[in-house]
Amino acid sequence: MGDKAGSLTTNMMHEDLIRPLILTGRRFYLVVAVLGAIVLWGLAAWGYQVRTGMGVAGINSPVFWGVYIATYIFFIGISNAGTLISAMLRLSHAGWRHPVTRCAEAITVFALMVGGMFPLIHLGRVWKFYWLIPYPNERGLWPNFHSPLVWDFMAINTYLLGSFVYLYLPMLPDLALIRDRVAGWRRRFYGLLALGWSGTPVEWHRLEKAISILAVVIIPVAVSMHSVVAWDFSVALKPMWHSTIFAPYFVVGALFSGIAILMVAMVILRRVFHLEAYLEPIHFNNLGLLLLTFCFLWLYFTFAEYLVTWYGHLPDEMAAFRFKVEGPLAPFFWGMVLMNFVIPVPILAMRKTRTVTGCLVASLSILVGMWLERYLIVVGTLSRPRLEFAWGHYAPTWVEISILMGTVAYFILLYVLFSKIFPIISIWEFKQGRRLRAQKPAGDVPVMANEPFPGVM
Amino acid sequence: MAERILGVFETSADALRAVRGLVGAGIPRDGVIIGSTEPILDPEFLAPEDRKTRMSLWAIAGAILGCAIGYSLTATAAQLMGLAPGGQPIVSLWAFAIVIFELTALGAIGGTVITFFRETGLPQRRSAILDAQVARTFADAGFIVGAAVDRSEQVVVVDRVLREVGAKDVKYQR
Repeated sequence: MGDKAGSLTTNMMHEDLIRPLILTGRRFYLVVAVLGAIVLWGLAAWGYQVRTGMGVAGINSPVFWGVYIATYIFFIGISNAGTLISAMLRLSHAGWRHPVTRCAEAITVFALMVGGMFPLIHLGRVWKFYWLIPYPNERGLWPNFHSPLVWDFMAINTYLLGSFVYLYLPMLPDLALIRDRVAGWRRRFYGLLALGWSGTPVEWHRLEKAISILAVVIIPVAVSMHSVVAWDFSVALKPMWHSTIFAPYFVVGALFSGIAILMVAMVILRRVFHLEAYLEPIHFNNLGLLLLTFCFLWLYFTFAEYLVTWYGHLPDEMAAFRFKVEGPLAPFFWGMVLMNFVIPVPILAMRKTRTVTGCLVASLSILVGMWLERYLIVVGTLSRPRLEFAWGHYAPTWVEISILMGTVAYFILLYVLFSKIFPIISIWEFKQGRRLRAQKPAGDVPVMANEPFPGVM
Repeated sequence: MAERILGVFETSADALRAVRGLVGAGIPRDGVIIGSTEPILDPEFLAPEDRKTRMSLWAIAGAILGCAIGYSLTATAAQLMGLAPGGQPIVSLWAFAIVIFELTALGAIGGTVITFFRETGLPQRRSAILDAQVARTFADAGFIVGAAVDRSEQVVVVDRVLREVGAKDVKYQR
């Protein structure tokens, strides 16, 4: 990396990264209008469900969780893209991370916001949502802290808050930079958000320190969050849910889909905002290799999960197993294997195809495959409970599909608006990375970018 | 009224030379103004009293407080409120550990953020060292070093030092 980036002057860099915030083309309004229309359609479907009752959704007894909970897991999974990946790259001093971190961190915040909506949508009587919040109330009732739903509430909100801070604090220098380059209402707007940042040595020192501490704290929080989602399932004594490896299996799947969505976002941002000099092929190559590793990890965990079930051959477990692998859900199962392994591995394994386009194809394939995996976990087991007389089927209705489309559009809309209002590439981190690369001899190991002062982690 | 004389520099090495030059010319260290649009990597930019931070300590303190709140919230609430956990123990650390862990992490995050704002003096209404006009120049330049002086002979000295060490531009700000 660095040929293109190295030739950029500071002024060019500022122009490139701040211009999209100032100039707005017709395409932007068109995209917002289309996404907004889909969001409105989803909202209308949700309103219909609230007004009419949960009967309009396809969920039933025994399949009481359907598309909503599958999509909830999916979004919570992709939320691992940002803060966790960014924190890991930061702590491992990956020299190429600088243009990637903010694209990733923004995904986390929006995926959590959208994912967190699904339990509320699934709740039916959404106005009762505050029953999950632990607070003293007039009836002396407290949430049951033994319940995985309360664990979810705590884990998601901790991760959301931590991710928001982890996104916002490193953005202060860039907000101040924009404040100093624009005029009028924009100056007031960015000035307000910049909190009076001046770029003094103390501010930089404390920012580096705070980022380092947050990176250390946020990694276990991210792992715990997706583990808690896995325990929603594995603490229940249901066939193919009651598994000790479910938490790490979910975490691996979350990172897998997280890297995939990050790559998709990077390809689109690169194209739309003409960021070819910033998001270079080496970023896609490195993330592509990481994604390839996760393809194999995912296969390993999936195989371990299914092998143990098959080898034990317990009748209850085998009913769920067969329902997924040979029964009505078999197209989903084999589609998942195709999308998560068969298609992406050859693309990502060969240097010739590990291009920007190749990474996009592989990532899109993985995103579809991982949604299928979440669907299989939820619907496969619930359709085949232990007692045979209770077996059932599930098919999503137009209401569920509409809400699914609406929330996906909402996620994209939030991301589009964010990238329009805030610099999607961290300007100061990019400059820092460029300066550090310029200081080290070619072929040297990545510079320890986060050790500017003695005593700083 | 004190006047601020600010030199604009392209590299941190030039900016550091300016700091040394100003201190050498008799400007008190805490009177030297330094700002940058990218991290200033040399500890020499920091005044000695600013080099130590208690952020790690406050993060740990926040974590301990979060842990205590987590335990109180789960165990005490479960005992006081008479939850009926279906034959399971009322206070079960296996289940409560998750809530306790999340609140511990939340405490560490809170401790870090509060210390960050306390030690930096943020939020402020506007940049502490720059007016809008100078800020525009500063935004593209990278580093700024200067001093606030109230005697005309000091103004001449600061201006001379900044230009001698290679300031790209020197701005005056009241």
